Amino acid sequence: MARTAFLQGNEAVLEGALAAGARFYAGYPITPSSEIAELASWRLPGLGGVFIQMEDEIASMAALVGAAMAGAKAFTATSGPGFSLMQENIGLAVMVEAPCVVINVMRSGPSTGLATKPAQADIMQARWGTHGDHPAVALVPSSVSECFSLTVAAFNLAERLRTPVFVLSDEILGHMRERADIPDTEALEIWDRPRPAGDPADYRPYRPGPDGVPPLGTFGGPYVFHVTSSMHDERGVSANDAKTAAASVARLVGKVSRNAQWLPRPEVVRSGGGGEGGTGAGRPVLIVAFGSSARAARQTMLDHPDHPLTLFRPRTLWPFPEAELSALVDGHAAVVVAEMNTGQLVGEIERITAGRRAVGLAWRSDGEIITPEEIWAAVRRTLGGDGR
Amino acid sequence: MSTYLDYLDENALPLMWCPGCGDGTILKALLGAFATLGLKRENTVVVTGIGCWGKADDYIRTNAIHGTHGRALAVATGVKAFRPGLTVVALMGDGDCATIGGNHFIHAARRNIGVTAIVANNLNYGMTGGQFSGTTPVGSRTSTSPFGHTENPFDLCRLAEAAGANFVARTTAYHFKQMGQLMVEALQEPGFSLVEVVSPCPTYFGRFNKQGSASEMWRSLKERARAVGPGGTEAPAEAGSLEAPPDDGPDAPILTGRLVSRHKPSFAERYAAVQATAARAGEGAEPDAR
Amino acid sequence: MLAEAKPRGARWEGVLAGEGGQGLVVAGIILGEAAVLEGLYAVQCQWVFGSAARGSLSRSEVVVGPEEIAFPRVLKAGVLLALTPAALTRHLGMLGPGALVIVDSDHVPDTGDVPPDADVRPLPILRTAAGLGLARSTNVFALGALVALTGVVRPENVEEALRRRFGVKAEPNLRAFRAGADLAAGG
Repeated sequence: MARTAFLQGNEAVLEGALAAGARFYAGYPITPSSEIAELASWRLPGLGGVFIQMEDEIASMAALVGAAMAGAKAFTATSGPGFSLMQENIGLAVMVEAPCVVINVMRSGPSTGLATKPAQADIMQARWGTHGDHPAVALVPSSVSECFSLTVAAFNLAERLRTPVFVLSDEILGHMRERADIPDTEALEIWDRPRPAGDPADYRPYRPGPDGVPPLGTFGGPYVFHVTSSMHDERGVSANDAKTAAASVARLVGKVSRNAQWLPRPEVVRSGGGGEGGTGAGRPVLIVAFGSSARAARQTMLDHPDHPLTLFRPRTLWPFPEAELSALVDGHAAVVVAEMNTGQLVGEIERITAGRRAVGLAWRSDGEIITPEEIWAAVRRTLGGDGR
Repeated sequence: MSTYLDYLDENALPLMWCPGCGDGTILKALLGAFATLGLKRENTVVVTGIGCWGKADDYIRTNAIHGTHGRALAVATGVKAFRPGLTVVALMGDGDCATIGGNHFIHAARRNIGVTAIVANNLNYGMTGGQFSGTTPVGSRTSTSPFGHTENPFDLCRLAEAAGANFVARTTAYHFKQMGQLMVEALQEPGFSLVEVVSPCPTYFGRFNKQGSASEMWRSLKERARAVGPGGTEAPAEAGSLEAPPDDGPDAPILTGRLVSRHKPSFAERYAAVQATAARAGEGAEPDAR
Repeated sequence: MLAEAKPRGARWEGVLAGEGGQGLVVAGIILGEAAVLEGLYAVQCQWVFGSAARGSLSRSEVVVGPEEIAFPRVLKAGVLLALTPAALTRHLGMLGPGALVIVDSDHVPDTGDVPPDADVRPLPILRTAAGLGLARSTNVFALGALVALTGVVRPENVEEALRRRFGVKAEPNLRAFRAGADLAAGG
């Protein structure tokens, strides 16, 4: 039954995972994500699922791949140091096309950093952390309600795309409690991986379906199959020729980009008559922010109701909703990016803006939340011609 | 009556390994053990890492995951933990198992997860040019210990015993019959099982250490083996009989046979009990630790 | 995809601070739960300063409003509850103009640094709770005083939140909540 609850972000992630059908968790405890592991250890066995605490995050990610091939909707939760260790087998999951979900409750780094404090500094690691060309799908919740709904979406995407999907939360969202709307599980749209059909002798674990995603058998089921981290042909047999390699990488990357309509869309909020034809005083500014920083940006808008401001808040960070953002740029006098790092997303926004407008940055990298005043200051600064 | 050929992908032949390597013999013994047990291909999962023996999955017609270097046991743990009914086998060399994957090895044994580890121990990294591994004996020449290796080797069987494995056995690539018997036993073990197969690498280790031709290396395996388990010529192993020989250099005796066999509950048995308890408690019941 | 932002609604911001183990994090959560039961929006965050779970300075921040809470942290606290001297001094900088400052009169005797525009209410919270045999519910006792003095939520919603959280063990907490309100009312 749908309910309104007062929940912690990490609790909502776990609820979302269970609602999406997750039945396998392998992980290693790390602040500020450990509540997810603890709740998983409590809730999964009663549902016939499995919680296993591995010896490290390398093993955790490897175990997800194994369980996914054995039919599980599998997930783990971690933070920066653990996310670093997972990169190796995130690549394995990409290459063997194992559906799985990795929750990164981001904390301040580098290294151990400020272990209990928030940051948004793992976003480029989420995009490019594992080596080699590969697709990346990363969702960025901005509320406890979205910790639930985007975790459900992450499982759906992982299944349908046969690829690891990241949920990038942060210490603020993970540990704060707020009013959250949890929909009825029965009412949720749940996607499962494409399944093979036909004669098992003809099954090819890497032969793509119509949307570019190969149907996946299950160990123990009638379709016997072989997957590999090495470059391979449709049968999963190692193949080192350039033609196979080119086609394989193109398909891996392309199966995400060609199905971008499955990804959660950005939220656009206007205030003060934000955007073209704005009625408020002052020249309109487009603010780009995600996760906790978007909460600060919303406050900036509430605190300055007479200035035309538009918030562009991606729910999917990777692949970035480039066309939607690009369409908004010309209707604004300037663009301001707010992020809790020294400037990672801003480079992507500058690329998309392509010199059409000045791009300013409000940033913070000291383990404290970015404030509405800092974002407002960046708005003023950027309009005045000094964005950075 | 099935034979090893039922599990062999003949399309993938010939074998990729160097002349004189032990891997082909180990592969035949393993597939023979599958046949002896009549394993269903659908219900069998082979997991490999990276290395010469880690390429063995190319020849096997069961389910398989060829993964990352050192992580075969961690991948296998995920498969087995989620589907305890499957037969899960991890094929690793000494680099995979004893070196980069050492942490996963001891924890898989401690966890007593029902995975069978078949470790081809050729005392060096064959695939990448003969560098030393975690089992390379002190003093040995390898491509990264040109003046003689300065570090002590792991004894994998003693390591597995100390870490908690239910079944631990050692054999050599030469002892084909014993190898098959031990694999059959290991594959039936509900907890963690290890079969270490000491195997020759004439291309690198043998050449660097002047151990003669491939056939001389195989003869050496025959001569150095001291069977202590069933079918052996010496008394059966007793608790604590895993004492390393005084000289563990390249010419040391090799204790072979079933070295440890015990019946502690496996991960699957214990976790099934947790699932039953949790299911009885039902939704909303908080365990004591919360 | 498009939503028109609404003007900033009345935003109530409170800080509940004391020693780890005094239960003020839970008090903040109960306040948030009560607000949600009332149909309001609420956010609660918590900090423990120091590695020890007990004894370190601990803070619960609660923001309540009639609409979705944008910024999830306290910007200018309208209310500060401080049960230890450190809980007061550490959070003076967070106070908004004319803030209500509730302190334990025995444990925080010195309120000289509180800005003059603040409304300081010293109350013998710990002593009174202990005297009633409610020492283990000091947090809920203090919450009773805070809710009585601020009216941020209706008492019956806090009582419902207590029943939901504590179930059969709710009774001493309900007594503590009402006794805290009585103390604040001067009764």
